[in-house]
Amino acid sequence: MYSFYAVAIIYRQISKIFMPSQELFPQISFSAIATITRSNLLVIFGVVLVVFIFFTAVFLFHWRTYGGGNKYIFMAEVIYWAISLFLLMSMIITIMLY
Amino acid sequence: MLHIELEPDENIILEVRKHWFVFLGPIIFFILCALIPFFLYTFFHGNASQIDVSFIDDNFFVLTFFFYPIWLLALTIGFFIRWTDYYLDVWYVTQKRIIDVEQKNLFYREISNLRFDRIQDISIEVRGFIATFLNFGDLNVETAGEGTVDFSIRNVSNPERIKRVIFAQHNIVWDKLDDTKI
Repeated sequence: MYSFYAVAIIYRQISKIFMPSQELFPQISFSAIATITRSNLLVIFGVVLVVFIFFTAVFLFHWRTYGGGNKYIFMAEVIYWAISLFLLMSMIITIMLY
Repeated sequence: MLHIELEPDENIILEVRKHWFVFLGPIIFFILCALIPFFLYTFFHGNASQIDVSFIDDNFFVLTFFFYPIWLLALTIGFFIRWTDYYLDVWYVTQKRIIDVEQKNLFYREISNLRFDRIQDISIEVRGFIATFLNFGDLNVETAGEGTVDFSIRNVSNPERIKRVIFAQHNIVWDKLDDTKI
């Protein structure tokens, strides 16, 4: 499996060989980033939270119904909650600091 | 608590699942996907003369701590979708039958039963260096009768042992049938 980085390196090398006089990219501007406000972030976070709750409900249903009290299902649940809550907390802290 | 109804004198003897090595590919894939933003940053940083990088200020780095966790959360959910699909594919071997539970995707589940008196043959296929070294392979149970579908499960751990257990139960069931005929 090719990583995205490997593909990018290959593309750069090929471009240098076949298009040495052309710029690799047109001028790209990301000035729109400066217009993102805290309320924008809250809306995005709300959408992410809804999607997260939906999939969490689906996972818990499957693991509790079909898992049979298996220890690996329990470990998967613990890992899932740990990672998800950590990521959600980092988003919340970012919104507070923004 | 098991979601499958067993008969009163029936117990699960063996749970058959796919080998952990089968899930290594998706693990590597998701790890690489988690590293994509770093690759992108390195790639675009190398072409800074062609990209307006004035947006990279303190705000940008704060926002990366917001958007990158969203990417990771999406990957986490995708990873657990794949894991649930992988882990809930299982064979339950009881004293009377094999219960084949196949989780085709999150909202599609197929459960089939095969009684031991319908088994004609069990074949095993172990292909490749890694499968031989780690002892996993495909198990195929051939059934008697026309129009019936063979049971098969791929990449199970220690298929030879599973075959022995199934054959042992098959022989017990046939012995009981012979006793009742006499």
